[in-house]
Amino acid sequence: MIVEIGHFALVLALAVAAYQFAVNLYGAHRNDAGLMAAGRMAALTQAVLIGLAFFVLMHAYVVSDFSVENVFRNSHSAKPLLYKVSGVWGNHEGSMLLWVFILALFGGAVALFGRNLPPQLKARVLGVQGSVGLAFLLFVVLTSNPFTRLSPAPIEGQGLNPILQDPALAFHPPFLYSGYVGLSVAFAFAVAALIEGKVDAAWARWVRPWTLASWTFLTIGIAMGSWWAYYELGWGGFWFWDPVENASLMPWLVATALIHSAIVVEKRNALKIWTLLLSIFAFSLSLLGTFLVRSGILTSVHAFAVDPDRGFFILAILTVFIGGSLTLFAIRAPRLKAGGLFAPVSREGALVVNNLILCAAAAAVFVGTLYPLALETLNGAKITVGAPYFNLTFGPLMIPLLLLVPLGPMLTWKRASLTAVGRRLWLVAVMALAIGLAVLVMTVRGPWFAALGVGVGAWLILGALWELSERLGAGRVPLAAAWARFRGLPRAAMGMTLAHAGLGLALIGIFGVSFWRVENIVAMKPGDVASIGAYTVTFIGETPLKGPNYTGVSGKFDLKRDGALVTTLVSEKREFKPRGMPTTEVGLYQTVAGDVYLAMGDAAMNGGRSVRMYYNPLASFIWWGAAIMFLGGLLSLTDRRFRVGAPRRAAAPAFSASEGSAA
Amino acid sequence: MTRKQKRLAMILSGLAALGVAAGLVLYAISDTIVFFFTPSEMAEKHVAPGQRLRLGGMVEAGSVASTDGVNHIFVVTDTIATTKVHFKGQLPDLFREGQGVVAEGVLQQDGSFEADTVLAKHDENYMPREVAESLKAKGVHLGKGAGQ
Amino acid sequence: MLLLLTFVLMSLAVIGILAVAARRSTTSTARAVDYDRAVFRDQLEELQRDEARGVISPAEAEAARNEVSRRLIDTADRQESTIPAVNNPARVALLAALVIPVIATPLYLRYGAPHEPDVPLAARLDQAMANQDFPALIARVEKRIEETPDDVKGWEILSSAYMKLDRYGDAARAFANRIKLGQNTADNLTDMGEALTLDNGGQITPDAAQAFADAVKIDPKLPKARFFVALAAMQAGKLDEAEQSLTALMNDSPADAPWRGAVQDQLDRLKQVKAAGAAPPMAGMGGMPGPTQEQVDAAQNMSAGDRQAMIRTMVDRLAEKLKANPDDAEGWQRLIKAHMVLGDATAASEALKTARDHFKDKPETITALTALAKELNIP
Repeated sequence: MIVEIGHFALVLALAVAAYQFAVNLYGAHRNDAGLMAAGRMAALTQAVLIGLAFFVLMHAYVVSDFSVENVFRNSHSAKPLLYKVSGVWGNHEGSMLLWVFILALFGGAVALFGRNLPPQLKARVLGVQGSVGLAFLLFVVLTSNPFTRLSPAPIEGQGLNPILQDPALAFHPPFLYSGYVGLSVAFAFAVAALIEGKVDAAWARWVRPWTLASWTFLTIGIAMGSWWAYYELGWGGFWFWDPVENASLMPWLVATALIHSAIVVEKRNALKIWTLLLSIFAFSLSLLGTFLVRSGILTSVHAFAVDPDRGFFILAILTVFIGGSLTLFAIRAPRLKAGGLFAPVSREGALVVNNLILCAAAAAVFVGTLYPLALETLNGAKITVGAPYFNLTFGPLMIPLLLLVPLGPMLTWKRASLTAVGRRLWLVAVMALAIGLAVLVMTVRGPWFAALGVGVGAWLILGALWELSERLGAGRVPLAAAWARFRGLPRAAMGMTLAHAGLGLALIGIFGVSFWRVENIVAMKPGDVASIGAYTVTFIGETPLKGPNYTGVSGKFDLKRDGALVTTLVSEKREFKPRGMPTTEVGLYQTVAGDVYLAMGDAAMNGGRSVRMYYNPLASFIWWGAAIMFLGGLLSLTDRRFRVGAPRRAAAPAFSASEGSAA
Repeated sequence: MTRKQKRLAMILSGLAALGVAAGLVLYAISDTIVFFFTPSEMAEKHVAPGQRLRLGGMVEAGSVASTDGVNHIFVVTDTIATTKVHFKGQLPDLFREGQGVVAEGVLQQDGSFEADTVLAKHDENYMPREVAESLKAKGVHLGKGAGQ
Repeated sequence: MLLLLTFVLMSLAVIGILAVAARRSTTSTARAVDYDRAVFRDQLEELQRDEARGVISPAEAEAARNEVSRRLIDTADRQESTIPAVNNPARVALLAALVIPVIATPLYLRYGAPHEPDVPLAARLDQAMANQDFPALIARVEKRIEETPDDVKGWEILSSAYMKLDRYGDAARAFANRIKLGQNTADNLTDMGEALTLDNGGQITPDAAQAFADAVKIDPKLPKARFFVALAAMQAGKLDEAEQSLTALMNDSPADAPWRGAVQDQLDRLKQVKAAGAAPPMAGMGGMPGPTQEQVDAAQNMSAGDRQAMIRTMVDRLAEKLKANPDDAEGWQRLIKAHMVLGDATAASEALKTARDHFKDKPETITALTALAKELNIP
């Protein structure tokens, strides 16, 4: 009965989404307060109903109710509780339910916290959100229903793909989806503005926190996925330019552009049309990502069981929303008034360059991701576009942007002087250059590219810190005063500093691993010694292993440096019970300077084991950098300006009364 | 500069940026793409040795040999033709005889294939899409999970 | 019925909430331009704050203030579309009442399964185990397996269940399917051979012999397979070979191995036969080592989860029984042992305490319990 209540809640949510769509748009059109109030409540109700359905499915997983086909296919009674819970979204149907749940949560959040939005604008935003929700709920109910029943219920389930049974991956999809789906709010704002035919100051101000929230979630979601790939797949790499990864990178690039261009709209009332277009693109790329992942149309190492028919449904959704919004844009955009003026050298100008480069980079990734598909459709040739392509396009595009990052915040609005900025930044530039050169000299035979990367990373970090210290008046004012300024600093400013510095840190890690990695693959018998980087590895031996739902062997390795024991690394080969599927658990020793990464391979005929070792210099910088960027996003979100229910609201009617009589 | 000129300058610089991007993309695409073949396609199309490519098919049962655990030799088949592959490294967890596989590397003079990357998938029912389609086109029957 | 009522209540609640929201709405007098002005005023305040703290320079603050003020003043000229605000709650409620059931009902009727009860794992096992209803369990699994014949899990359950129910022919088929579906293990091969043999009244068939031989090839140490290989040799009249194999097996077996007795039996029998110089021995498997740890094997063939669940269910039932009939001294000992097997020392010591209290007048039972506690290391 519980299961059916969940199913009914889902269907009811679909009906409410349809209602939300119609009532909000019509209500805004008629300026009918009753309709708009009901539309707002519909957004909240929809979130509650989908939440009910979602937790019912989760309950079915926890109690192993295999009368639900989805649970039967993806769970097993012997699975640890954490993975019973994460199993909910470890499969297509469940993950789509999570998708619509997060979508509805965002809609509900706009309804709840959007008190500072003009009622008609808010109603239109919620209406567009409702239409997206309706489309995806239809998709879930009609083609990917997680509540399909089995009768009689099988005794045992088929188990979750063991490679997904991992803490980092258990929470990777919710974050990533929050990022993807959060962009739907920016999209809904853009479409609402196009329907209204104007971009208000309120629009510009309140679209930002939503975009920032989804950027923050996307950042941490991508980082978690990359971290998972790093230590779970056993290849020692963190990014493979795989279509599924690119599908998350493209929205991130455009979302990054969007959070920057939205600043210009808010502060300078310029770039409005461009920002609307970016909002549409950002969500379109999210939809495209969903389509790529869910249709399996592109070969990906990350693709799990997928179904082409569902792909067509998502393709239809994609066509309707992207086509529809772009058509609306083409009709309405010319009517929008252009905004403030600015000189090419100015904060706005820098942000325009930022946007251009980010979009060009996203376009390069887009081409590389979809070119194989296009070529195969055209002449049947099967090709892959791999890392070399992306290194050759993405890299050269991004380097100039990265060089500009510390300059941007130093430029003034409207018109800026490069010489003034040069005077403020020359010391930072010299320091970064010195670091780059020092690296080049130290690693005599090392690739100069790596030195470039470290230099650019240092430029970003030092630039961000320098800008912060200037704001605080470090050196000019007493320490106490600087501290007071630090405490009074808008959190958004602090967030920007963190995000830029985190980017620099991640960059150093990326270049370090890419150019200085040391690899050693050897066959080892117990007692054998191999060397990796500055370390030596001694194979101690292997012991049988028995986990809750797997068996296997566990190999022990002593890691020594200069003859002294550093740690004992353990790598495991596991075989998971229900499916007999093998996985590798790597042994990882992390230091600031680099990671020792060790994966045990198959048993060789002569009784040894193949062992793959990497020394990944500076690898942890990648994750720390991403974590700092995430923190920066979070910190910005807590800025008082974004805080909901800003006190201005109460003052508005009084203000309008006096102004109204004057006008 | 007038407002119009400024706007024009901005649009032009935007187009220039896109032009650079497009140039890079075109150059990179022509230079870095890797073609995918099955063993029989490789024979039909007379692929020249030395070219970098991806070889796909199924691992022939009983063909996997690895003497030292690091150097692996196996035979990739599309049931019509076969190619012998040498790979130094660690095979993926899901590499199995009779299962689909994709190897990336270079065709040697003697007709064998020197792979530097071997791919299998996260999902044990996985059959690389190209492999599935190529085999299907050749009328080879595939079990469940194929053609995902 | 209850479910239908729930659905109706859910729908009514949704419609009600929407209607109430509409009813309680007030027509706002604020226009869009007021929200913009609020934003500008907020921006001005912000500038003031930042300037006061010194985080932006006075010049920057001045420029920004000019700009914001200009935009604030501009709002005065703005043309607002002046659609008169209306409010019609009754219509909203009516719309909701119509639209929502009209969409939800047909969709649920099409995709829902209102008659399916929830069947969580606990309920499934309780049902089956409580009734000791193996035939029913098997019937269900069989039905599933017809639809998904490559479901190894189903065959696993079936193979051990068939063995338990002495349906050896079916069991052999089930094992064959497991082997075909990738579980090509020595254990499965041996068990398949055993099932074939039992089905054949104890004579080892050529198929079974092949299976045992294959099993030994995979795992040359597996005692059960070696035992059967020796039996096959014996039945084929290769007495010397059989004796060698059995002796070797005996030598390899630990002193406490449970199968030693069975191997010894066969060795004795072999000696008799040889001494008698008789023709190939025993038509049947009279001397076959009993049920060859059948139950243990069957339990091992189940997954860890199944086994835990099965044992737990049995333990729970035992505890229930003892509550009703606490005089069963042996029952208490079994319960205490079972708790220890499940690794639940607390429950074991609790059961021990209850039993001691109950039997405090029966010294011989108390002695036995104390001995057991000592043996199992229960505090």
